[in-house]
Amino acid sequence: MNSDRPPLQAPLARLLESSPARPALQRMRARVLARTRQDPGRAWKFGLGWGLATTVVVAAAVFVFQSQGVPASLLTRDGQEFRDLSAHGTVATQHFADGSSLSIGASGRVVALSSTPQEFSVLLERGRLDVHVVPGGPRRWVVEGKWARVEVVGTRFFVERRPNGISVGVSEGVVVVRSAQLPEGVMRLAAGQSLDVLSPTHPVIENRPSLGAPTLPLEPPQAIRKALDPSPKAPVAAHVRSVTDLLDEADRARARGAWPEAEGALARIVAEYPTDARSSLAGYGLGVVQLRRGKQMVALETFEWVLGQRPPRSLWEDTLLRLIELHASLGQMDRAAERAADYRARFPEGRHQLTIARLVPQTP
Amino acid sequence: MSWPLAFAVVLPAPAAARPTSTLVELVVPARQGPSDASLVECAVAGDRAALGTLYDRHAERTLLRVTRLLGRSAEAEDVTQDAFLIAFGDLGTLRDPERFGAWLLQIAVRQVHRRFRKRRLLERLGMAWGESDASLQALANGVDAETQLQLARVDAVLGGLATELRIAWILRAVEGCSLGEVADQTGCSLATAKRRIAAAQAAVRKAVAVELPEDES
Repeated sequence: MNSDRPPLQAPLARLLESSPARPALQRMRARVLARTRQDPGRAWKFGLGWGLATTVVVAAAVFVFQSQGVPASLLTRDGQEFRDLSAHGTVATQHFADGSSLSIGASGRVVALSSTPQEFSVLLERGRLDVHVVPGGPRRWVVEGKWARVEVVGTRFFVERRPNGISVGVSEGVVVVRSAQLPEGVMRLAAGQSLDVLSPTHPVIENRPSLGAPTLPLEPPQAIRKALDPSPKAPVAAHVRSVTDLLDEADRARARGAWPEAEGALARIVAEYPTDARSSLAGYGLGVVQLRRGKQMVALETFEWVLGQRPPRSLWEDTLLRLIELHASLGQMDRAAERAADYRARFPEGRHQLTIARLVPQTP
Repeated sequence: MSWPLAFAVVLPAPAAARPTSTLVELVVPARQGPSDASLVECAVAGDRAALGTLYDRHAERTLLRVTRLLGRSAEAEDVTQDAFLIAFGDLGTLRDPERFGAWLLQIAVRQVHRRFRKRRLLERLGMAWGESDASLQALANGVDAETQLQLARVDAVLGGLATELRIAWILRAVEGCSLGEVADQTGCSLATAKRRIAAAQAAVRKAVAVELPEDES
C-alpha cells in the first residue's frame, strides 16, 4: 500500500463519471416500453413464457454459432478486434474480415461500442464516417451519434457529426435513422437520400438532396398550435393522431422548451380522448404547462376537469393541492378552504397535509 | 411521458396568513410533476405514459449504480433493462408506491447478483467473454494518475472478492449508501451488511486506503 497518498474518501462515486451514455438510456427506454404490455401487472408472467422460449432459441443459436465457427465479434482484416479509429490530417480506413470497411475523415474519431454475432455498434465521436457494409452479413451495424442512431444491414452510407447536429447520407441500400429530433422518432433513408438532424438547441430538421438524387418528403415543420379548449366538448381536430403520438409530441416539445406546442398536444389528448386512461395524467400535465405559461385561470379549469375524471388516488391528491395553491394565489380563500376541506376529508393521512395547512390554516 | 419541467410557482400567501399592509410572497418549492406514487397508480391502471415518466426519472441513477456494481457497460444495460421490465411487470404488487425508486434498486441489485452467478458459470464452462470496460479506474473522471492507480488497485481487490462482499462494499464505499440502504438493497440484515462491508474493507485496505463513513449506529 502506498502510504504517501492520502486515503481515498468515500463515496468514490464523486471521482467517477456521473452520467451514463444518453444513447444507452434511449435504447433501453424504447425496449422497456415496447416490452411492457398494456397491463403492467401481468407483463412479468407473460414475459416469463417468452423468456423461456427465448432462452431455448438463444441456446440453439449459440450452439449453431459455435459449431460453425462464426466469430463472436467482427474482426478486422488482420484478425484483431476493432477498438477505435482516428484520423490525423488524412482519411483513415479500417477494413474488416467480411469485406466491410469504415473510413474516418480528417480529425475524426470512431470507437467500438459493442461487437457481438448479432450487432456491431460504434460511436462517432467527431468527424465524418463513411461506412461500407457488405450485404448479407449476420450482424446489424449501428452508428451512434450524439443526437441520432443509424441502423443498417448491407449498404454504403456516411454519418457526419458536427457541433450542431448529425448528417446522414446513403449511397447504396437503406438505413434507418432514429432520433428524438425526428417528427416520428425514426426515418427510413434510401439510396441517394440524406438527412440533417440538428441538435436539440436547433430543433429544425431539414432534408436536402444528396448525391444528385431526390429526397423523401418530410412532414413540414410543426407550426405552433393554439392550445385547444380543455373541455371535452371541444371540436375534434381534423388531423387525428393517437394518444401515444400526442404524448410523444408533448414530451419532445417540453424537452426543447416549446411550451405552446406541448400545451397544444396535451390539450388535444384532453379534448379528443377524454375517456382514455391517460387523459387525466395528460390533463394534469396540461395544467402544469399552463401554469408555466402564466395562464392561471385556464389551469384552474383544467385541474377541475382532471378531478372530474376521477383520477387515481395520488393524482387526485396532487391535483387538489394544485387547485388549493391556485385559489390561494388568486385570493379566492373561500374556494381554497373548500378544496382544503375536501382534501382533508378524502385524504386524512394525505402527503400534502402539511403544505395545505400552511396555505389554508384549519379553523377549529 | 417525461416531466422535465422543474419550476417554482411564486404564489402570494393566502390572505388569512399574510399581513394586510405588506404583500408577502410564498415560494412553493419546485416540484417535478406527479409523485412516484401517482405515476405507479396510473401505470397500474394502464397508463403507459406514466411508465415512461417513471423510466425517465429513475433510469439514469439505476444504470449508473448497476454499471459500477458490474464493471461492464453492456451487461449493465441488459441488467438495468431487466430490472425495469421486472419492476413494471410487478408494479401491482408494490405495497408502498412512493418507494418505487428504492424498490427498483433492490430489483436491480438482485439482478446484478444473478449476473455475477451467470458470469461464474460461464467462466467454469470456458465460455466467458466480455471485458471490464466500466471498472472504477475506467470510469474515473477528472482525477490524477495516482488516484487512477489507487482505483485500479481497488478494482483488482474487488475482482477477487465474493459477490456479496463486493456488492455491499461498492454500495457503501462507492455509492455512499447508508448501512440501512445497503441492507435494504441487498436483502440482508443490518448486521450482515456491516459484516460484509467490514470483510471487504479489510481486503481492500491491504492494497489501498479507502476511508469509509462512520457507522450511523
